[in-house]
Amino acid sequence: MSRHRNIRNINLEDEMDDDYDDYDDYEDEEESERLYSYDRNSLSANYYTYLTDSGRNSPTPPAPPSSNTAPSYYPPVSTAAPTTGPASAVPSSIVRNLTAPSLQQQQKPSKNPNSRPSTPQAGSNLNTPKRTQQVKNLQTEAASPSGSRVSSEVDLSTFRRNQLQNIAKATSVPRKAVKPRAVEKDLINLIVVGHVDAGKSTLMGHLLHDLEVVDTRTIDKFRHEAARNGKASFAYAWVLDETEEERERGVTMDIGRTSFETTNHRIVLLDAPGHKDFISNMITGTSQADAAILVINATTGEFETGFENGGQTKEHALLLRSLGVTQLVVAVNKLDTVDWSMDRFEEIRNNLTVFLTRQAGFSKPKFVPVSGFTGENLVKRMDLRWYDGPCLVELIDSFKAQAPQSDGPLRIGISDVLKVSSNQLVVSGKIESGEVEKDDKVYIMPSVTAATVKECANNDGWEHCFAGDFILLTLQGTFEPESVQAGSVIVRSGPDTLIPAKKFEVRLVVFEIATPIIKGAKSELYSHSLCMPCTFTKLIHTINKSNGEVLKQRPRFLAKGSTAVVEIETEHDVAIEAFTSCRAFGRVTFRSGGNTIAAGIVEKVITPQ
Amino acid sequence: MKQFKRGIERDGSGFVVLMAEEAEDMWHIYNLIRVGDVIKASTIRKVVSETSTGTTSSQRVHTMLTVSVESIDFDPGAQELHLKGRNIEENDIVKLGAYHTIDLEPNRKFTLQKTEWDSIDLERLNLSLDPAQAADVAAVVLHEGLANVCLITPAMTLTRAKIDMTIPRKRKGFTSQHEKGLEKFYEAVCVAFMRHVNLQVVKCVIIASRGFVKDAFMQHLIAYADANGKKFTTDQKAKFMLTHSSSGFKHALKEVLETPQVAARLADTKAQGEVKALNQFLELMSTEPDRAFYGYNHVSRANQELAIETLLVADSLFRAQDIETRRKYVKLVESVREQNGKVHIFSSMHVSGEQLAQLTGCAAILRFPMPDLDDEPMSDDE
Repeated sequence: MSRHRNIRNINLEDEMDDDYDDYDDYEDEEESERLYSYDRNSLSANYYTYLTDSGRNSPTPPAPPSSNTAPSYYPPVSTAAPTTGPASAVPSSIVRNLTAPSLQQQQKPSKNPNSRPSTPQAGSNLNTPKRTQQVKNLQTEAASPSGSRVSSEVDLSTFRRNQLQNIAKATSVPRKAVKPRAVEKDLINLIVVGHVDAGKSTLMGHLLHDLEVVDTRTIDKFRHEAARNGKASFAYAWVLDETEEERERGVTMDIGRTSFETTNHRIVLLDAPGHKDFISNMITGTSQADAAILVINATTGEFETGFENGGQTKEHALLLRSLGVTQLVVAVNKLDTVDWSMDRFEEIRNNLTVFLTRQAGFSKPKFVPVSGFTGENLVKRMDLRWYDGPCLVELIDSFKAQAPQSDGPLRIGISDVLKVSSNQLVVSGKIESGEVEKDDKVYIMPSVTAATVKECANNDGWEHCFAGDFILLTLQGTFEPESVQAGSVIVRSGPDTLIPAKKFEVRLVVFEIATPIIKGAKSELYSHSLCMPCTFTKLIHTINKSNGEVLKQRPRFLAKGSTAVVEIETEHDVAIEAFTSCRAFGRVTFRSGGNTIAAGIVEKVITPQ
Repeated sequence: MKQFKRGIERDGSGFVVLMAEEAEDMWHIYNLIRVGDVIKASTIRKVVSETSTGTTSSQRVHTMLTVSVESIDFDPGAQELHLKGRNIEENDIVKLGAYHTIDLEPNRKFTLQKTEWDSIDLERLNLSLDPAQAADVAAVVLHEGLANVCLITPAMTLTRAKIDMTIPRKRKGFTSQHEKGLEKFYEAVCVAFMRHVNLQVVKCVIIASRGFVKDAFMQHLIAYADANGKKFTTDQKAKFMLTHSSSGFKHALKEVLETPQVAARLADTKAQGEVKALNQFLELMSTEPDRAFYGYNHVSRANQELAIETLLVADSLFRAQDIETRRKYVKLVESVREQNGKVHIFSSMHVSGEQLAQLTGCAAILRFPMPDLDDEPMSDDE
């Protein structure tokens, strides 16, 4: 119940007296809301670029709300300075530095009461009347939360709705300045995909060995054990395939995760399963990735099965693209089995280039011949008559890291729940935007559970984590069993919180499918780490792909290759939101019967009236 | 279902005396009874009597009541039907016109009287009286962390248990967490399975999953049964069938029922036939969209042209509260039958029926393409 108490007992005047910088967030928030507000024109333009050339890194019309010129890294705190008396004396450059919060703490006592923007009466200090208005609203709402409870509509989930409303109404937590890290190698999340038995795990295992992340003793041990089980060739794969079942069956089943460093980057390596049945796990991994290696099996006949006859090569590539991965290297593996034939390499390259650029929309995929088993061209360039390009590690090193993300609202997609007890929870996940630190108060959606961050750390042990990090969080609170699952999202209270919902308007592209999508069709919805059954409840209209015009209102069905806007309903509330609000949580993929049937973006969250 | 007496006149009015024997029958009864019907059954009424001094005492009295039904409520889990209505026959305890709710359960005799028994009703009644129809199939669909234990009867798919657990993913150096979680999950599914599935009764048990989960589960199940002194006999073991499904969600059952090996075993269950028909419709939708239509408007237009080869209707339409809607669909069905068309009435308790219900509840496969139908807009409620 603590979450209610928090909100009900809020005394807004006190709050603002204490924390006036909190207050200045409003302006920013308002600004940002306006920018984020739904704009069909810009979105449709945006969407097409999303499918054709630009990726999640490229600037797009609804740009982050950086009205201030400071690097978007830094919180809006810096702009607060000029409007509030004493603070204006402080050069903004100082405010921006890492001690910003503590500086303001010290200033507080010296503040002239008149200059405090604490009450609406002192609104003359505030530059916009709009803002005053908002404060008034907030005040009345904060004063009578019980009133709003009574007045709200009759619904089975009235309680829950109120809870959410209160969270949304709460003042947003002042953002802290992000401490720049000392290590400045950029982080890249790299995923390795490809058809089953293309040699993904072996390739990566060998690479890790050559980079001396895994020592020779371990490899020797694996080789020994593998040989004993009659699977000598799987020794390198065992580096990443750790569970007993994976080793026994010789198939990667879930994402394997490890990290290493190259000259310019820190790489978090995600080894995806290639088997058709585990594509859901592959999607989870891909949603966290910035770049990808597509591994192709060059053995005669194997490339063709993986590529043409219902193999996973195509599906994986399309998934990569629709999940926002734009940088791709194609590793043509097992070339040792065809005597490093140039013809084979070229044949594969030509076939794939057409597909990857035309259909999937990758701009310039690079190709590299390798052998995962014998280890050629991984870390050292090999002399090959017909290839003198960079080796695999060099190509990995040439990936560009994501620009540091804008300082948006906090969003952490939980990808795994490691430990649950009634008052403590250990989860891992990726921060998609915002930052988090020890002792932060957060909410877990869609279960609306309040929690306090007890510990948080990313791979390198940093305790203040921000967008892009893959982190391990220890949360404290009261947790019902199974209420927090992979696919839940951690947010903060405030107007920019994420309100879970069941109905969404989605703009999608239909993949190659046997049976068309009709109204009422069921499928599984995938977004970040989430997997949830959903139903297509309405087919709103189909769209002309090239110019974005509406082709047909309320079509009877969606055939393969078409683009359309549909309404979907999930079985339970899920934490996803409009693509314009948060890219990572606005991308959705639909699968049915073991095939990916469509991918798209959430245009609008339809909240119940 | 047992029938004791049938008195249906030429003009369609009349009564039947029935007794439900199992859950399946309750479903049929639910589909037979509509608002306005008269039901006569033994029931319990709380009677409050006031003495001369003003003290009141209440008693529960068994009595036979006849009510005209005003609202119907079906609880598939508890297999109960609650029929609320006004008393229309004078009784010692209950006044004329007083409200009463009759609870129908298996093994309770009752009389159902209708002013009009139409062809759909009679078909449903005869179907429910046919003993050969009864054959249950148990199915477990699962993936890592989610399992549905279902019973498939000819007219219903009942989810007996749903197990939803988070299993920690594998992590560098900590694979034991993952394996422990998986172990616990299998254990929970085994417990649910043994509790809800009676292997003496079911005809066949389908275990479906992606990857190797089904094999692992089967091993656990056999070990679990062994450990609990319920070792499977060879006969029972022969009933198990492992097959592929893409996920552990309930709608994956549709996929399971499609697979050829399952189809062969369940050749003539109703669920199977429905899935087949719906699939045919969907396939046609992609190959020859001018021969597959849905929505009442389109379908009835096609019917006027005598074009319907197969008609798919959801039974929820026949439970419609207003008589007009029902009559409309009954007419449609009768007219298609007259033209020698096939009619499938889908049970909305099956996965395929759920999907058809979403698809306006009414779809048709045509004998010949009617491209001009496509231009007609669909009506608003479709």
